[in-house]
Amino acid sequence: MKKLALSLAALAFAAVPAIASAQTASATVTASATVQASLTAATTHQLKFGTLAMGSSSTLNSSGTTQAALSGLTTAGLGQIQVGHNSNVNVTATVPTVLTNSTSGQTLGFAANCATATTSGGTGTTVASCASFSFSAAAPGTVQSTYVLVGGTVTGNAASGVGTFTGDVDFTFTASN
Amino acid sequence: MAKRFAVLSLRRGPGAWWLSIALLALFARPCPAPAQGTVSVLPVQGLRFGTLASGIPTVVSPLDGGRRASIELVGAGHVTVSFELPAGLMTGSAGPLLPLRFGGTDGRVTFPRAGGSLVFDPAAPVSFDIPPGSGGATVWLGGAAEPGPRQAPGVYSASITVNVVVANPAT
Repeated sequence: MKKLALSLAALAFAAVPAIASAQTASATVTASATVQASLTAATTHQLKFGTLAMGSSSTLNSSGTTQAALSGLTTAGLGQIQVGHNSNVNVTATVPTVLTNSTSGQTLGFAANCATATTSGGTGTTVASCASFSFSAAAPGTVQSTYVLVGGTVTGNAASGVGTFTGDVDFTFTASN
Repeated sequence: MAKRFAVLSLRRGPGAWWLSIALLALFARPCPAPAQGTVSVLPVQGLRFGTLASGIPTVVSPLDGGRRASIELVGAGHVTVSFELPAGLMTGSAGPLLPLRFGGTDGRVTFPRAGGSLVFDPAAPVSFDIPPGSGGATVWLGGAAEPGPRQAPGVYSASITVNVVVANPAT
């Protein structure tokens, strides 16, 4: 029994292994980058209603079967903005409700209609509202042009008299993914 | 005399079994990892390439404090650090890939208190000792982002996993 006890005791010492343990741990960090969008905008044509008879109204459609042509130097027609972009684009616009005669201060009612086209003066795809719309990049990453066509309706008012009536439609383009 | 008798009884009687079992229980337990062999891994900062233009590569040096990735190792021991490096950054899970490249000197280990640094290739594991009382070590990671000329705009990201193995000395 004594030998057995001593043997077990010896075994106890021998059973203590030379432990070479290893601890493992992990952590994660994030790598990030933002690729900047390419976005340019240039007005190529002004929206012009031309010369109207006093009190008469006029409409220029930016899409549909009655789509008007782009304005010329001296001819009435649609306004157009050429947008160069490589991503989707959100658009907002501030549209005046009147055109103003800067000399007399008289006004004429005004409303805009907008469309987009893939070529200059091309067939317009109407948007729900000039105030807010968007268009996509057909090939994200590749710079391409989209044309925003701007038409509208000017409401005649004989009481407003004669003269030149103008207003600014301000567009803001924002690149999105 | 009584004391001697008691010891003899222990050696020769049933107590011998209990002595052996007690010794087994005492010594056969695994040795706990010594404090000097424990290292905590703390991610401090991600690898930030910032805003890029399509077609223009951007390099972040491991010495660029504002943009390099930074990981702190707190503790002491012989450690082996390895990175799981992504091939590129993505927008979402299936978006286009913005390729990344890691060079042979994009990894750095510094020892804030002990001083000194170690340059390493993050594509391969690196081993070093963190002496007890040295305050740990800091691992820095740089790299290059290489957007293509038609790289789609957007916010790109990817995870970099750091694995640390701490080898404890034989006990």
